[in-house]
Amino acid sequence: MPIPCITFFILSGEQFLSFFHSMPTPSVQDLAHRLMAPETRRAAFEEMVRAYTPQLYQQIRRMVLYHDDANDVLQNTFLKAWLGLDNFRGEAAVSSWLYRIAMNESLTFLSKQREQLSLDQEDTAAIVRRLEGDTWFDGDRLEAELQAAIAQLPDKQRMVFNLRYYDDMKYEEMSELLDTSVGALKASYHFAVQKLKDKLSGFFDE
Amino acid sequence: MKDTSDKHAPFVVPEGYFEAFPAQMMALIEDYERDGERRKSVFRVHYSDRLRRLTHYAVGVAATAAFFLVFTQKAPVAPAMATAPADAHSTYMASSSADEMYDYMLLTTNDIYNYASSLE
Repeated sequence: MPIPCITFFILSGEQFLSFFHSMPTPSVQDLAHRLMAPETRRAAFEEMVRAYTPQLYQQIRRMVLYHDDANDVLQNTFLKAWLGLDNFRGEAAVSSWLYRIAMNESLTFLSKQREQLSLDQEDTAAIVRRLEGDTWFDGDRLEAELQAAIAQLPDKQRMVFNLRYYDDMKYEEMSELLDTSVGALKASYHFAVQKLKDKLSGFFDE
Repeated sequence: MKDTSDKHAPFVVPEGYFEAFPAQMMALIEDYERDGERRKSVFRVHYSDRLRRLTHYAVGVAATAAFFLVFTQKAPVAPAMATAPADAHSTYMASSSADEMYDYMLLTTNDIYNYASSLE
C-alpha cells in the first residue's frame, strides 16, 4: 500500500475511526471546541445535526425499523445531546458521543414499546406483515423476514450485528464504542448469525 | 434516499427529510427551552441568596423560641389534694413562716398527739 495512503489513515484519526464513511464530517476538533463554548454552541450544534443526521438516522432505523419511530428517537437523541452539552468535555469523538446517545435512546424506546405491547417481543409474522405494509419499506418478503429475524435478536446483539454487518465496523472500534471486550463482541456476532441462519432456514424450507 | 451501506437495508427515507430535519430540531429545542423556563417560573420558587438567608433566620428564631418554650417553663404545681400532709407541704413550700414550718414538721412525722398537745 502506498506510503501516502498509510500516512493519511494514521493522521486522520477521527475519520479512520468514524464509521460515517460517506458523510463529509466537519472539522472535528473545531466542532468539539465550538460546542463547548457558549457563544458558538447553538450554531455548532445545528451544524452537527446537519452533518450527523443521515448516518444516525440509519443506525436508529435499523434498530426500531419504522420511519416514525426512528424520527422520534432521532429527535430524542439530539435533545439529549443538547441537554448534555454542559457535560461534554470533548474527550470522546463527537460521532462516538452521539452514537452512544442514539443507541441508548433506541434501547429505551424498544424497552418501552415492549412494555406497552405487554409482550416479550412482537412475533416475527406480525413484524413481517407490518413491514410489508409500510410505505417506507422497500424490500421483498425475504428482506422483511430478515429484518424481522434481526428484530427478534436481543437488543445488544442486534446492535453488534448491525454495526458489523451493515457498517463493516472493526471489532476494535466497536469495543471502544460499546465499552465491551473484543471477544464478547465476536461471540455476540457469532451467536447472532447462528440465530438468523436458524430462523431464515425455516423460510427457505417453506 | 436509501441506506448508503454496501449491504442494502430496505429502509426508505421520505423525500426531503434530511434537509428539513435540522431546522425542525432547532425549533424543537427552542420550544423545549421556552417551555422549561415557563414551567420553572410558575411552579418553582427562585431561591435567591437573600431569600435563603431570610428563611434561615426565620427558622433559627422559631427554633430558639421553641427551645425556650419547652425547657424553661416552671414545673406545674401539683393539684391540691385532700390529704393534710400534701396541703401542708404545699403551704410549707409556698412560704417560709416558722409556724407553718413547725406545723409541717409535726405532721410529716405523723406525731398527731404531740401536735394536738402542743396546741393546748
